[in-house]
Amino acid sequence: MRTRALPVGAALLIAAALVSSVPLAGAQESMPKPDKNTWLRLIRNDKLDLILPKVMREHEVDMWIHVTRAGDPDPLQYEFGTTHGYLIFTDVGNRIERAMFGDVFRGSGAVEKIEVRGSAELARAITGYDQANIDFAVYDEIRDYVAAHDPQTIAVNFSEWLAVADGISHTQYELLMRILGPELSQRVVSAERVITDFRSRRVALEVTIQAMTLEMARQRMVEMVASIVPGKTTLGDIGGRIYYSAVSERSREPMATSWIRDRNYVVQPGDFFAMGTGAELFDFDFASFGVDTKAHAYILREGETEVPESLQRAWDNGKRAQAIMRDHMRVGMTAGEALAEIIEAMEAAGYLYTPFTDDPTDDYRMIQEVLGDGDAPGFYLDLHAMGNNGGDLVTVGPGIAPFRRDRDHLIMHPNHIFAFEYAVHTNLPERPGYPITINFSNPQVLTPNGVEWIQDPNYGIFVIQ
Amino acid sequence: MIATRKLVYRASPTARRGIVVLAFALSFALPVARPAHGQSTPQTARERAETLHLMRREKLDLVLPDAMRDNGVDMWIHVIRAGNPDPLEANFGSASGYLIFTDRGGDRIERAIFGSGGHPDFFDLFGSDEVSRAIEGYDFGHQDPAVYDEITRFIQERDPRTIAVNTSEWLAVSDGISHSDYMRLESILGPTYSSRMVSAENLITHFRARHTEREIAAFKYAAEQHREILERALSREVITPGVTTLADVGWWVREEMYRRDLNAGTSLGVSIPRILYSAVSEPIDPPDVRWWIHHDDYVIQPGDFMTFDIGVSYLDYFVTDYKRNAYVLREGETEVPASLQHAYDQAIRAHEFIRANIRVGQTARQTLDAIVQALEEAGYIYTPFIDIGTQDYEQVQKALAGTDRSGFSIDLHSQGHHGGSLVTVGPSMAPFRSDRDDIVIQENHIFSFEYMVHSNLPERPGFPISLNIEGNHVATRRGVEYLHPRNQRILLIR
Repeated sequence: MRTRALPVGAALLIAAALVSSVPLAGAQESMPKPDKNTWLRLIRNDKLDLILPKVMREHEVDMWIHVTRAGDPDPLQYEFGTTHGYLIFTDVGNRIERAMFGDVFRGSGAVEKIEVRGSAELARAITGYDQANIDFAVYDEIRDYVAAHDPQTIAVNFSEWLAVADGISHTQYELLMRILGPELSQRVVSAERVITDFRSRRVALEVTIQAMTLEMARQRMVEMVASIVPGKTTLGDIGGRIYYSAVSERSREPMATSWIRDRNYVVQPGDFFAMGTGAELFDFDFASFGVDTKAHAYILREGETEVPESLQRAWDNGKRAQAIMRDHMRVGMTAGEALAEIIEAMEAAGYLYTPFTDDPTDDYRMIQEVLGDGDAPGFYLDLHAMGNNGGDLVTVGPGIAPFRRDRDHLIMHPNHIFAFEYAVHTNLPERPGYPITINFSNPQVLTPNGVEWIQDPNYGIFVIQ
Repeated sequence: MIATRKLVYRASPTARRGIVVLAFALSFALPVARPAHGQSTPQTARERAETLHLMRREKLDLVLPDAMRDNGVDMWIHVIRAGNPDPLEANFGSASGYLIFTDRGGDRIERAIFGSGGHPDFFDLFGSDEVSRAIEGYDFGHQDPAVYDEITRFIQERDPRTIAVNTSEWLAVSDGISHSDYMRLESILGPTYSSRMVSAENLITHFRARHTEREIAAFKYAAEQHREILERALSREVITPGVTTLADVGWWVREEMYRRDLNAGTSLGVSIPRILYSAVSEPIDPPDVRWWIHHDDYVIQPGDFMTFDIGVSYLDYFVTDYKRNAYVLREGETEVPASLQHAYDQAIRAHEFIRANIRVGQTARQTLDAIVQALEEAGYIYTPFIDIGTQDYEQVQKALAGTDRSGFSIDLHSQGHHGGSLVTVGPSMAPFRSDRDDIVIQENHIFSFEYMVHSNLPERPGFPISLNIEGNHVATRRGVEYLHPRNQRILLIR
């Protein structure tokens, strides 16, 4: 069967693209792929030049010692490149002085403008050269450097809270304390706040990378939709999850995240589902910029020409919520303030709050209880930080969700990249007692103008014939 | 949204085998696009994933039991924190949390994971969802510490006398546990079991450095990719004398690696060929044992003799590290000048003396001593490097002053996961790697057969040429076996 994909509602632009005779692959080829190394160099320098001074001063950190060890990968390699040893940033008033005791590999691809460098002997000791015979005095130059700057607060990359700020190993931490000595050691604090802001405050090129990655994913999504063959394509083929099916039964307890999510399930006419695809503009390994975007689609049944009214209403409830939330995210707010304000606005608009625990089975029971047999839709939200963080619990930066309250205090700064992710639940007459939960998710960027779209914010439902 | 996990369960070995058999059957059935002929075939994404999966599984099935028992370890707790990349990611993939391996007798080590990302092929027991979420940081600050009690109970039930943990002053690859996680582990273990903690450094050394056949095959694949790229780089396909710079060659290699889906790295710096001798160009830096001329913008000239060392990263699992040598013929020349050929032949002759003294079961130190003795008996002069290029060169100059004999230096370092750096894991024969002296060479020891031979040149009196010969091979009970064609000839660029 030939698949035709058409959007409904406001998604006329998507419709034009899909029915066009222009090959979709051509659209991909037209997007230039920038040079990864050049862009990475620009980002690293901009972050160090433009973000680091503000971050250190706002958090009252006089010196930041970032300890890395060759052979033990660093969570901040994206920011610093490959460094082995003691990368030290010191606020000397008119600038942040950069010092490296150890090695910065391939100089121009990593931290640049290093003003102070440790000795070759120390660098070799740090790398483990003839380790059995290292004289501890070789580390004296680090202590001397720190003591000469007399910092009152020394941030170090250890943290119970934030994994990305917890790169220093136990043995390296103990070695650092020994190097610093008792007096300077007392001034050591976690670098978790500095690292949070250093990573999550985005320079322009990072926003660009995020937007380009999302555009790559969108183009793939359009291709994917066009390739769906009802009765043949599986959920595994499209990274899909069924929210409603007119013909298929679920095989397990209902979950808030999906009605059916078996990779081998073959999509059928009458299925309403979400799908997503990945894309990677640059491979930064664990620090690659992600996608975390969902699109929605419905497969028409015989004789149907549009999405059934109940499903369309449920989707419209979701889309309407997006506009409400968008108005309540502003630069300068904390995540906790934004969460409270959004909940208040949504409740005022008639939505019922279902604060998820992120256990999908329990969460679905909560939805059933809260919605009862009423007409009011429910909602929950998880507007988590994105960028090169992923959407999991280790993501760095403000996270607006009931199960991310440890991020409540974090301030949303200009260029905050976040996943505009939430779900809206609506009762369906076709499935009494079992509301449909539709998850909307698409990373966007927060600027002083408000939330700016850097990708399609779910303009409509793809309709497949 | 956060991915959710299955509840505690135990998958039967039979069921797990069934899954894998099915996966492989499917892989053979699927059509795969391949080039018609020519260069080696790039692997599909699926082939790469299956290779990695199989290597990880074989390592746990076949290497882990002996690695634990030979080091007297009853339990190995490997702590990984999601968001903080682990040095053993090649072996454990996306698993995070508390990976606990317990020797409970029999052929198999019990494998448990309290955390996320553990594949059923790799783990038998899974902790609860609650502890998994707590480990990942779910609602941090409001966690009940009692959520970790299940780990404490698990350990108490097994009552290990020795608990190896991934902390090590010595070995960076065994030092993955963060300070915060170490403190938490101590709290989970309590004082009794904390006192039984030891470093997992010896266990991890053996786990890493003992290789399965599948690993050997994968490394061989990487070594062949390496050879193809390197030999093309040192040819007229890439080098036009008088035009091509050293950096041009380096970047051609990077692009070729990128094209082949080999990890090409992210740095702006690039490894470049090293000119060891030039009939026409003078060095601008102090003499260094590693090179005579070595800067990005140097234009390769007729009469240049060079070596080139690259590394291919395959599946983020293995890294290769070996060299080839090339000479750019001058107008009218048809072969390498006699003095350079003699220096090269002296280097190649040393190979067999070294090879004959590498044996499974010996320690690194015993091997180094035997090699040094054999080469000295063969007339070579030992120049034990300190691995500082300029100082080592001065040593070579002194040792070779007024003699026709050749000198030599040895660095037969372990190879595989970490290139030739000082953090490489396993037995290594070099005077500046004495902390590896006591490590025994095991069956299937992948190593870099790297050494230098220094010879005086009549064209450059007082400034000997140092030739680094390097290949990546494997030591087995049969001796040193070759994983790729040896470096036995100088490549000619006409």
